[in-house]
Amino acid sequence: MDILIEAKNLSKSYDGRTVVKNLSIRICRGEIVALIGPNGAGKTTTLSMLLGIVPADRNEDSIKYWRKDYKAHLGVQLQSTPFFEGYSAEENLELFSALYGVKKSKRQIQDVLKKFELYDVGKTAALRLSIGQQKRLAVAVTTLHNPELIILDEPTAGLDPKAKKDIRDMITTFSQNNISVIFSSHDLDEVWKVANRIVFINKGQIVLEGNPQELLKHYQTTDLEALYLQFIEEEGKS
Amino acid sequence: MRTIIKLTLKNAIRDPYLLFWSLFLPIAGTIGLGYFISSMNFIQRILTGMLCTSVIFYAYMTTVFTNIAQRRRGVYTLLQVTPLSLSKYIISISLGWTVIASVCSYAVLLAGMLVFKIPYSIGAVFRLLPIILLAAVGYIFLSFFISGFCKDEGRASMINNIIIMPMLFCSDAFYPLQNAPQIIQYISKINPFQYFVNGVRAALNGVFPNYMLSIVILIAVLFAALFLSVKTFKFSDV
Repeated sequence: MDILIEAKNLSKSYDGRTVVKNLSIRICRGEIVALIGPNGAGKTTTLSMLLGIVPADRNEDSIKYWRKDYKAHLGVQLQSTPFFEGYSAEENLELFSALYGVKKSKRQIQDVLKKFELYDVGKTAALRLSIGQQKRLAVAVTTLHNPELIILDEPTAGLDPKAKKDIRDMITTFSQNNISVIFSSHDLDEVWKVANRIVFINKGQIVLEGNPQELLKHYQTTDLEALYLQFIEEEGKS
Repeated sequence: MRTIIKLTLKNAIRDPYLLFWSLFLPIAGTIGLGYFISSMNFIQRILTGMLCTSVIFYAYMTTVFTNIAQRRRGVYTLLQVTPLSLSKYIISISLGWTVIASVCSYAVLLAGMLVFKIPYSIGAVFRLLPIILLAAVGYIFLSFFISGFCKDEGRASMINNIIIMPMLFCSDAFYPLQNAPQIIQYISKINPFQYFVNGVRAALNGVFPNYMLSIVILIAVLFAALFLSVKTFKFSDV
């Protein structure tokens, strides 16, 4: 299988507290990978290390990317959905296009706004949009340069059911267009519906990994939530 | 780069701080002080002093406060995962701000020339341009450097009092320094703002050796500030 990112033995500590410990992960082309785990498990730190935003404590060269210019083919949505202050949704899209080295015409920007149901608020300051609209705009930003891999950090956190469904549909569409996705989430229903591989992180380590259906079958549980709780409780005892 | 410059210009025009610090304050200051002490020598000193103040205030206020806001929102974290190099980003955004700073300083000059009927030649006004451009870019780069060690707007205001104000008052922008304490006269000799003021006056009065000396020093300040700004740029507060 075509590997996009391969990281080996990633570790990260903050002030002596280990957040991620010897974590190895591989993302292949065509996959939709969900990182799940309790708050503080190390999901965001893992994604940040994969992105190069946070340096790993050691083995800095242990992350391998599928191409040298991978940044030009990688879409990223951070948990904080950052936008340039003072700029409208439309202008933010224009700016991020420029940062990715892509020239978009006004019409193309409007098409993106339409696709992500943001056309009516295109002239509104990005920071004044609702949380749902900001998340959609952040996901729209990830697609501006036709990436091969998209990394989403809790894309549906704080959204209402309709907005969650919209984001879910977007992730599914990415997959249909041969774009690989890795996302972190607390919403196991969403993970079940979208992901074809889950990576369960707890206390900075991968404790479970595999295809959701196969995992349920293997552990003979009815749903992901039951499996999740089972592992949390087992980890708590150990 | 063009898109970044274009959008920076567009956003800068909507900025109320720009109107106050770079247009209203210097123009009102020039006219008010000019009428209060109606000596032509003093009016010319005040006009050139205010013109330089307009540039430094715009460079500092815009760059430092914008950088702090963008960094806190996580925009610069996202910048790390785009293919655009940091130096290219700093140069693009600084060019946009430089155009605005130059337009503001010419507006201050024009207002002073019209109100007090100062007959600077067209050649002198054109000679001024390289000095203004070099100073504006240099101070914007310097402000990128300063914003690196300002965690919030409060600290930025404090740094303003510690660095920018002494730069203004340890120069002969508003009053001659012949009778100032020896230490102030010494500081003025190593004060980059003094060389900006000297350059502006040399350009308008046609004093060629002073003009060239100022250009050389402003170029040196520009490269030093660019080096410092790129080396110390902070993508996030974490």
